[in-house]
Amino acid sequence: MTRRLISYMFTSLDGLIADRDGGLDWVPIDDGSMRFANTYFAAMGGIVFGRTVYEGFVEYWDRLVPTDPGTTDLEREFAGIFGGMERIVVSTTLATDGCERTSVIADDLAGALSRLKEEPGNDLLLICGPALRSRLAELGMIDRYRTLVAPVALGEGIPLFAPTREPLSLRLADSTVFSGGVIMLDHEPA
Amino acid sequence: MAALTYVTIMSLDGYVADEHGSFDWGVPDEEVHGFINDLMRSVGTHLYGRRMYEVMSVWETMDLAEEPPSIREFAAIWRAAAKVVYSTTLDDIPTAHTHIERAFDPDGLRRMKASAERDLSIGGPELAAQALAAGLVDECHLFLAPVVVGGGLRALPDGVRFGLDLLDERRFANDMVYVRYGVTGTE
Repeated sequence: MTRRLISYMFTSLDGLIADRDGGLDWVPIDDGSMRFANTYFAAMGGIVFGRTVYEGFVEYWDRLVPTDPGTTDLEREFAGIFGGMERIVVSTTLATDGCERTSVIADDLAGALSRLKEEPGNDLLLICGPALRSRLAELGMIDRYRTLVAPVALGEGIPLFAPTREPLSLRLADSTVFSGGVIMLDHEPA
Repeated sequence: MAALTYVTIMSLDGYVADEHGSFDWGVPDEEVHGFINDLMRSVGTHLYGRRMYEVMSVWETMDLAEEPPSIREFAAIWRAAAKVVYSTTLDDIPTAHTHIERAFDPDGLRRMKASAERDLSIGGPELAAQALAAGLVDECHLFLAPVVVGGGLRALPDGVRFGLDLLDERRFANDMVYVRYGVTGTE
């Protein structure tokens, strides 16, 4: 039984993962969804990132100041969970960032990820931009798509998927509605 | 005062048709069609752009003898409803109860909503985009098909940001998900 690679992303109803300025201020984070994320991330074996998203994530969560009065207990908890997680960054330009839990995949993406999935441990999350997600989808490497659809239409921005050669057929595995109007859809390759 | 709803089927990544214009992946099955019929029963008038009208007008004359109940029922509901087609060029109107508007006029649509006794439904993403941008759409009803098409005709408008309020959600056996939203205002 290999580990699953699970795409995990908030999107707008019109399928965008960031607005035209790369902004995420539309992502509705409340205590309920934060508590869910903390439990979910804590049960994961690691996170596979694209470089841009990785740098954004690290910039925010590794530098979160726990004593800042604006930081909530749930954010402190998430920062602690993320701080202890294995990070795998797909990048040809990132060398290393000094974090001992970070490793870089620079080439042989399919081979490297297959080996990673064979290792013992819990499932892996995939948090990345459209190009890497579509590339991994075409390679058949993504086992589940967990999409958290926020109640907003952005009109323009960065899409969840890059233009694909063939339609990607999926089956719906589950759906969950959160307070705040977020609907979480779980799809798997058909 | 009637409500204006935008009802459409779209891919998970937000397209009503792929780059080849195909929407084979979004054809509703018997269960989903029955649900759509129930939504359509309260609609007194359908508003269409020209292309959507031409797609939909096949329902007027379709031979229904061999068709399943949901298809026969939809045809009856659709034929009885009034239609408004927005087109600068269309002259030939093959359907009954149909009226042509030469231009999209937000004030005209506002008056139509104010005076209508039954709800209005808007079809075709380009026409819907104009009504959404004008703040005239009250609800969006979307059927999310379990497919990623990566490009094509977008279901929701380019360049318009608006807030939504999730009102209802339902899963179907064919893996489509229905989501119903109130439009809370353009930003």
